[in-house]
Amino acid sequence: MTDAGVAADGPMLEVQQLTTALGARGPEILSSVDLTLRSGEVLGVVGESGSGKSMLALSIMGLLPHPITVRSGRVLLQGQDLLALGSQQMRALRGKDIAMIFQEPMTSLNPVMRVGQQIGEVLRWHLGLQGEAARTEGITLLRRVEMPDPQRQIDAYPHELSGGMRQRVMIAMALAGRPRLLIADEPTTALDVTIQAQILELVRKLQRDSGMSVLLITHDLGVIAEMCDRVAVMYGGRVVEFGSALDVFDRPAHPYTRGLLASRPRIAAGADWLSTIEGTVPAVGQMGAGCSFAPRCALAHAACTSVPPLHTVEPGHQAACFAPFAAVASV
Amino acid sequence: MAAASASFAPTALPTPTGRPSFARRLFANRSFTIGLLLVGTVAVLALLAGVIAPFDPLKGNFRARLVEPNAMYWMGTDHFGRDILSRVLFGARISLQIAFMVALITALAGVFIGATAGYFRRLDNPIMRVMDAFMAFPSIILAIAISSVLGASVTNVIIALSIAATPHTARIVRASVMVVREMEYVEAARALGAGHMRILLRHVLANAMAPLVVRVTYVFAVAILNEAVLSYIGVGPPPPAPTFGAIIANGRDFIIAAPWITVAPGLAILVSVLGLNMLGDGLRDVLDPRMAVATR
Repeated sequence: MTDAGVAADGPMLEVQQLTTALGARGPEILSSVDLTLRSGEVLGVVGESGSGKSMLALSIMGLLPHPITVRSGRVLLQGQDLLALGSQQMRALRGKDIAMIFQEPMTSLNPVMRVGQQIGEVLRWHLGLQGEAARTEGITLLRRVEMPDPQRQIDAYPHELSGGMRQRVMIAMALAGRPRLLIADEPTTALDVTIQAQILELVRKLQRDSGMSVLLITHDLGVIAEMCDRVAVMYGGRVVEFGSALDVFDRPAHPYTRGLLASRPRIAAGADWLSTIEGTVPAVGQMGAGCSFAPRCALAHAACTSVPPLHTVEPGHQAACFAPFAAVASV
Repeated sequence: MAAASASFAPTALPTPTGRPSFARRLFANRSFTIGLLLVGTVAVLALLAGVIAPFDPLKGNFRARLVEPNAMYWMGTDHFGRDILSRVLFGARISLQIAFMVALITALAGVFIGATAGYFRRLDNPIMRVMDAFMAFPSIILAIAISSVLGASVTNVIIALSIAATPHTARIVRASVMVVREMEYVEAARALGAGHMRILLRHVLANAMAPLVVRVTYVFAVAILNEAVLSYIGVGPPPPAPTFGAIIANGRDFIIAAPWITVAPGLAILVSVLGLNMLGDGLRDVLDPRMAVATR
């Protein structure tokens, strides 16, 4: 298990000026993304579909799908540059130092293998456990993810389990290699609301117990508020706001973040209209030259035709906007 | 979002579903059962040919040439006085042996080529263009050409038919590997540190087998037919070896005077191929439940 005390020194993960693109000459998908994830911290990455959240996760894992490549930047895991590693070294690291869980628990498990075999694979690769030892450890892992009746369910096939239980199995597999960093890509999106709460609570608990760091990707602001220490808001392949969850929610600096927060449905407010942000995220390759949010922004002015850098707007709170905190007559 | 608490821990245990086992579903399928029965009968008769055949399939009896089917020669005799029943039984042995080997080799080669092309993007184009070149010829023409170049023997017939059947099989495996390759569980396995071989064997191929299984029963059936064609036109196993095609070829000149010579091996081909096709249909229905409704 990760020793939180030792790891607390430097940041767990640093993403520096990461740019990925479609092929060597194609359009950029992530543009100069900067992120820092401290040890033992839960960092939320929030954004609409197409904002580059999942691409960020896949670049960290070194699993970018075919034509997409990293153009520049660094990804440092406790100081070690992951992008400089060979494919063999990267493979040894996946599942052992960084593990990932996915959105669709219904399809993330191999349908022809028993749960125990699938957990056992990871245990064998990364801890060298086999046979009875792997089975015992598998049951322990299932117990840690609060799987009911682990002795029996370890022999179940995925189709015999519910979505929530499959996600628990996925988490158990991710924990098997005792990772320092867990990347959760929309882990609860496909689940019922009550199951969502259970799974999030479980992730939070496991994170506290083991001291691992978690990068939680979601489009659900409620999940961020509940789970995360800090938040990165992504838009159009860039980080537009970054800060503690409290700051970002209380004093959103970027107009996009304000728009996002305003468009949450609220029962208490009793409003008839759901506030929305006009337009959609521009498609890859259709970004204008300047701030990618400018076309949808009520505050856009002449300066917004150049890209605003991510800069500190108050201590521990950064935003990529020329007019942070600017008041808007109506968004 | 409501506050989550540990009291939400799941209580209800899902019982393993009541889906009947794979074998039970197979045998509930009428097409599969009848097919298996037909193929099984032919296979058992072929295996027991040495025990149950009443005569030597190669030895003629000049006092009993072109005898009609009767109590002694159940399926009559040919122009050398050889017992047709014995020849068909031994012929089934050779024909099924050839077809079995063709199905096996085609399956192995098809999986190897198709999985390589489907999984490794860079190899896809070069491999599949070669396969396309093979597929440009009708497979029977290709088999005849290869067999005539290699010379007439059982091994060469197996080689020729396997080469003719492999490209299509490889294409089927490739397609199904390409679908499974993109599944989330493959990505998940990769994200947890699985290597290419592991992913390809355990995660991709294991889930891409259904179309191959069906294809192999079809290759088996077509190999019986094509072997008969090769033997019939004289590029199959050399005479006097009895194979279905060779017996039919022998009977060709006597089709009016002694039709039983051709009818008996013809029926044997019919039963074997029908049985294999029904077997394949049944397998397909069980392996791919979406298609089962219409035929059940």
